[in-house]
Parts: sequence; structure tokens; C-alpha cells
Amino acid sequence: MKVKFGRSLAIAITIGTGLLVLANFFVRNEFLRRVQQTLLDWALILAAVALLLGAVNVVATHLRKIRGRRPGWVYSLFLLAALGTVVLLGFLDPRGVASPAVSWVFLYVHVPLQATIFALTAFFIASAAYRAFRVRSVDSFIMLVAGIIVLLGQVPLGQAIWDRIAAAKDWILAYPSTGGARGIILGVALGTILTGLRVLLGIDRPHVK
Amino acid sequence: MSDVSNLIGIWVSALLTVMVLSYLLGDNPLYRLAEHLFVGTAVGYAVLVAYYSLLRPRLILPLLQAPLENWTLVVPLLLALLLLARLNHSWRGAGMAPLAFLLGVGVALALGGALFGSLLPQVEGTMLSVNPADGGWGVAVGNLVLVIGTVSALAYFYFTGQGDTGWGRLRAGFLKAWRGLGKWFIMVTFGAIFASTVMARLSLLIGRLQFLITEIPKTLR
Repeated sequence: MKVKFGRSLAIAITIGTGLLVLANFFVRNEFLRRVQQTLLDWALILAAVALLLGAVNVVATHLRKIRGRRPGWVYSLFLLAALGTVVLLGFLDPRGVASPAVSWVFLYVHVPLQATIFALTAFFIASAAYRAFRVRSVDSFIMLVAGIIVLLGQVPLGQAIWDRIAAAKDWILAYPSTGGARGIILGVALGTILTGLRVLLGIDRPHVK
Repeated sequence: MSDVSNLIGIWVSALLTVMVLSYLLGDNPLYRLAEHLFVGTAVGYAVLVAYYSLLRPRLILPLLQAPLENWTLVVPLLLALLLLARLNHSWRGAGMAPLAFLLGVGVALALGGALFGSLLPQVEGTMLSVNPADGGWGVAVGNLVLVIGTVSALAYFYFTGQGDTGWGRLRAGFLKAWRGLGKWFIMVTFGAIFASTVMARLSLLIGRLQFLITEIPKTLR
């Protein structure tokens, strides 16, 4: 009985808050606008708490790994050390994220790591390109031609091969590529609206078990 | 930041860059160490941003400085405590209310955003002139291609429309042709996106290599 009430309450909260926030998109009303703003502020606070919960989960997972001496536990030690150092540096200085120590870690540790990990994907994209662009059908041929024109249109080598390639790239990006992308965006938007309506009408209840 | 901290910083980032690039030789302890350091700093930074940019100014300080004026903040505080209760298995059910709240607000924002931020502006943007008198033949043909591409790519996501009657079969055949055309337009889009991604990643790689080649020798002078 208790569980059933809890589920009903959760569904009522979802529908109630959802409709209140959604109403502000359709009705110009000062009271509704203030209600939406308050609900958004609360949601931001909860999202921040959810993020902290995620961080606690990361710490707990790696602590379990270290305690159990599971494979790769030494790396977990470094992960926790890095996490703890950044958090400690941030809390020791009232400026927090803007403190020089945290900025130093961000600039000289986080940024180069992130940039190099993304740069590394250039190599894997090259091997993926070989697999994706192998001409096996009309579809892959079209993708290959579009990809090569857009790629070569951005580098001097392309200009050396064909002087109109930059114009061809611009045309592809401005018309057929935009058309395809717009169709995808419209499809995604329609899908989002339908899924959202199903949740707000209580048909889908992903959060209630 | 002082020169010494800059100098140490450049060497640390160079070392980390090499550690990540060592993955090209295969999975190795140096890469895994760098990977774990990346996750550690990212989570730590996210915690600080969540606290200093959201929790402190929007919840903690208003409640401490003027609790009577900001009494409504008791609601998110209570919901936050219920969310934290999810850490305890026997209290997991209590976390359903804050999740329901987040889902309600999130879904409404996504729905409103999809309708007013994607659907309507994109439909409006597709209503283009195909009259050569408006911008010349080049623009007219381009606009026609764009409109056909949009409609056919959208038709590619239309999965119903099979029929047994003569009219139904005709409709299904028509849709099938549109879907085929839409698939080609989607392929052009994927090719263009792929090429742009390759260029972005290569730029990053060049940037990192340039950093190693130019910044490290500077510190040795």
C-alpha cells in the first residue's frame, strides 16, 4: 500500500511540475513565469546534488576496488588522489573554482589530458573512415564523395587538386547536408515531443519501479 | 601565476600529453594512469562547480543569511536530502520524489525546447523561395535541394504506411521512394559531419604536437 502511494505521488509530482513548467511556454502570465523560475532554480539545486551523489558513487566504487585489491586498484588510488586534491584545493580557498591552485590544475592537468584524449581519436577515426568509406553500396559511395569533398575543401591540398573544391564544399554544407541534418533534427524533435508527452501524461514512468 | 609554476605546469602537461599519446603503442600503464588522473580531476572539478556555482549561492548562503525570506528553499533542501537518502539501500524508495521532480522539469523543458527551439524554427527555416527571381538560379536550385532533402530525410523516419489495397500500395511505394532519397541525403550529412569531425580532431592533435615542439624547447632556453 505504502509503495503504491509512493509511486502515485512520484507520478503526480512529475505530471504536476512538468505541466507547470510547460504551461509557461504557451501562456504569458507573470505568476506562471515566477512559478517556472522557482521550479527551475530548485531543479538546478537538485541537479547539483545529483552530481555530488555521482561523485560519491565514483569514490565508493574505487574505494571498493582498492579494498578488494582488484585488478587496476593502483590506478584507482591515483584517481582518488587527483579527485581529493582538486576538491581540497577548492575548499581551502574561498575563491573555490577560481582559486589559482584549482586554475593551475585545470590549465596544466585537465586541459592537456582532455585535448590529447580527443586528439588521440584522430587515429581511430582514420581507421573508422577506412571501414565506413569502403564502397560497398550506393549509400557508402555518396557518403564517401561528400566526406572527401568536405575534407579536401578545408585543406590547401584540395585547392591544389581542384580550384573549385572549396565552393563545392560550401554548396554541400549549405544545401544537401543542411537538408539531411534538418530532417534528422525534425525527426528528433518530433520524437522528443512524443516521448515527453507520454511521460507527462503518465503513460511512460521510467522513474517508478 | 609565477614563472616557476608556469614552468612546472608546462612540463607536467607535456608529460601527461606523452602519457596519453603512448596509447598509440598499445594499452599500457602510463596511458591508464593518465586516463584515471583525467577522470579524477574532472570529477573533482565538477564537485567544485556544483558547490561554488549552484549549491552555495542558491541554497546554502540564502538559507544561512536570510532563512525567513528564503523559506521556500526548504523544499529543494528536503528533496536534496531525500536524493542523498538513495545512498542507503533501505531508503532508496525515498529518492523517488526528487527524481520525479527532476524528470518532470527536465521533460517539460525538453518538450518546450524541442517544440519552440527545434521544430518550429527548423520548419520556418525550410520555407524557402525556389523562385530564381529572388536570388538567382543557383540559390533556387540549392533551396529546392534543401527542401527535398529535409522532407525526404524526415520521411526516412516514417515507418508506417504499408497497405494491402491499391491506394495503400501506391502510398507505400511512394513513401519507399522518398525514404530511399532521404537515406542518400542523410548519407551526405553523415559524410560532411564525419569530415568535419576528422578536421576538428586533427586540429587538436596538431595543437598538442605543436605544444610539445614549441613550448618545451622554450623552457630549456
